[in-house]
Amino acid sequence: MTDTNRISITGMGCCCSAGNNSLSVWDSIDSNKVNCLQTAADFFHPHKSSPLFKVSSDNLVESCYPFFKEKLKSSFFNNINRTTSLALVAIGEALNQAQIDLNNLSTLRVGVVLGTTVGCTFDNESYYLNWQKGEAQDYSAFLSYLSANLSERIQALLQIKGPRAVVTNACASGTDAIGIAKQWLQNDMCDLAIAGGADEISRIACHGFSSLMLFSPNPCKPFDKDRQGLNLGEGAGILIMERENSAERRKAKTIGLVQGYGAASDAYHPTAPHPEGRGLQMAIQIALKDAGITMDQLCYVNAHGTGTQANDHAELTALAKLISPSDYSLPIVSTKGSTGHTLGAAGAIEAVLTIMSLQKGLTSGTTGCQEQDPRFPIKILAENKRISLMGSLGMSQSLAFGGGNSALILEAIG
Amino acid sequence: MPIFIAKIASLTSDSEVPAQFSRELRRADSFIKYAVLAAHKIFGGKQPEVQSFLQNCSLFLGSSFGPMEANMDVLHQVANREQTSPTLFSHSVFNAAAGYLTRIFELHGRALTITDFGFPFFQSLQQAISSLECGQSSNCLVIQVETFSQLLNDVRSSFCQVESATWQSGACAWLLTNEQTSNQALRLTNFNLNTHTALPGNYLQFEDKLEINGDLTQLQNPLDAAMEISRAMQDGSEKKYSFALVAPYGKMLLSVSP
Repeated sequence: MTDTNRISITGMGCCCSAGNNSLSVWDSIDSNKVNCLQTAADFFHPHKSSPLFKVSSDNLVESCYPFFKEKLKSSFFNNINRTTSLALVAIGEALNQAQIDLNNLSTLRVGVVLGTTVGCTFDNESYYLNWQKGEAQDYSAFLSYLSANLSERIQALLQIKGPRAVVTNACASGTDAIGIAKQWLQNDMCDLAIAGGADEISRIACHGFSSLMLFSPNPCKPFDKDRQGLNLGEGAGILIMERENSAERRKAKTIGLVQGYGAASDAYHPTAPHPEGRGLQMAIQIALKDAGITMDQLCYVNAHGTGTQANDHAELTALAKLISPSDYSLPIVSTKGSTGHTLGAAGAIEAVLTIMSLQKGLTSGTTGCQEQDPRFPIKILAENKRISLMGSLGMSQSLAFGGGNSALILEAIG
Repeated sequence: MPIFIAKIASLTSDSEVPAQFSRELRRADSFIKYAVLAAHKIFGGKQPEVQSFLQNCSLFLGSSFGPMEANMDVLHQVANREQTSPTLFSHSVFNAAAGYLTRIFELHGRALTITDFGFPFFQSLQQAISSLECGQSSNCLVIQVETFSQLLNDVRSSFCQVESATWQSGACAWLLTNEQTSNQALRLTNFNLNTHTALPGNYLQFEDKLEINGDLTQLQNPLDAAMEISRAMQDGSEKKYSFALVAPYGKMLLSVSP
């Protein structure tokens, strides 16, 4: 019997440096592959480079274009920025899995809620330099910026109507977007939701994170005793969500459920997390309460795990306060060793990977973590481990600049 | 579930920073300062003391252009191959203001920053209402903050081909609750937001119109709708208010009563 309050996931899509679809991403992570550019001089000052996890650019638009080909004219793909292209790749995969005919979308109230960071900023350097010199130029570059609000652009491309939001909550944006979609559906604000996040690598972000000295000069090593920081990545993660009874009515296969969502603030520091992860503790407790479960019912945690000293310590300190000693075998992994930190896309990509791990009943360890920091109060699953998951419920969590923390409780079905 | 607008505050770019915040905001840019000052006015100049209020107070901050000045300043440094300031970069992150607000006022609830060129205040309001209705929050601070860069002003002048008034920077804030905490609180009796896509030039030309109890006003800038509605409700000369906002990118209907 279906519950009108349960929120089904009927499709998922994902792209990042590990692969251009969710299965290839999962396979890469399962075999602990690291596909990054060791040096990317275009994005950094000289001598300050850091590995970047870029999506393979071969046929980026064409890889999603066939899916949209019958519905959309090819000119629609002109003049879309890279963040929107990444989102479309993941949306295409997700809608295909959900068996949603693009023609039917116009008959539904479709909510679009996407997280991003880079996707909302004006970053056209040549335009800026010309303006600075007082040179006359047309404003088409600025109009491109005004047409690039991610959710609005997706609404326009797919010709859909319904609520929309672009969440700019830094690294928790993707997680928060999925949480918002859950509330929209439960409040009957839409019939279907396209929720997740997308972000491209930008020179602004590279220079900015470099100035904060958060980068590792080598591929990142989340939770490792020798971790030196994070690496940036790009990508997109998308869930197609609908009320369970609605999915049943259209005979769609439910592949997962968004059982709970929680968010809370550290109220501590502009860029560093609270040392004990107090905001994360609250967010997790709210998410568990929303799902109606307790921590010991989880069989998997996809951690934020960026590879910075502060994040990894705060995150595991928070988890240690919530996990009872008898549950210290709960598998906790970070997937950022294979994807890089994809900022606004991270929470959404990790939600997809959480569902996939739960579906397969299997997880490999944290890519890049050969030996965890001995100061951590609990164990994480290191790179050389691979274990079966004994259950269907998992959690994906995110910590953000500004002290935001979010958590999703996800369940795999079938 | 009833929803009340318990407090309203707005401020423009000539507002001064109270001395009590001078240390906290010594490096903050205008965007952050407006957000903090608006929240300060909402809380009546006092730090909220009730622990349950702090734990359950969520923040929904909306903006059309985000911290655009900081965005442009970082772009300047990168484009001109200068050293990037870490403080400037962290302030150019769109949710930096939310981080300052939660820290200064010790708000531990949810903090969401939403960016949309059309109706950012009302999109934040929509999320706040949704959060109250599903029980995730019992109090919500809804804020719109806008600062605009000189580059944007120059593009507007060029695109619109007329002398365009400089858009007013500032902030507007409402405190929503699910309990009627005072006789002055207004009850939200109707809210409907219908957004659709628009041409990019619509966001420069700015053709929003606001009807307040039947009287029509042409709005001038992205903050005007929230400001005018706030001003009308604070005026208190009417018992009930009905607002209708129409723009090329959608419509918003809002009704409140005592």
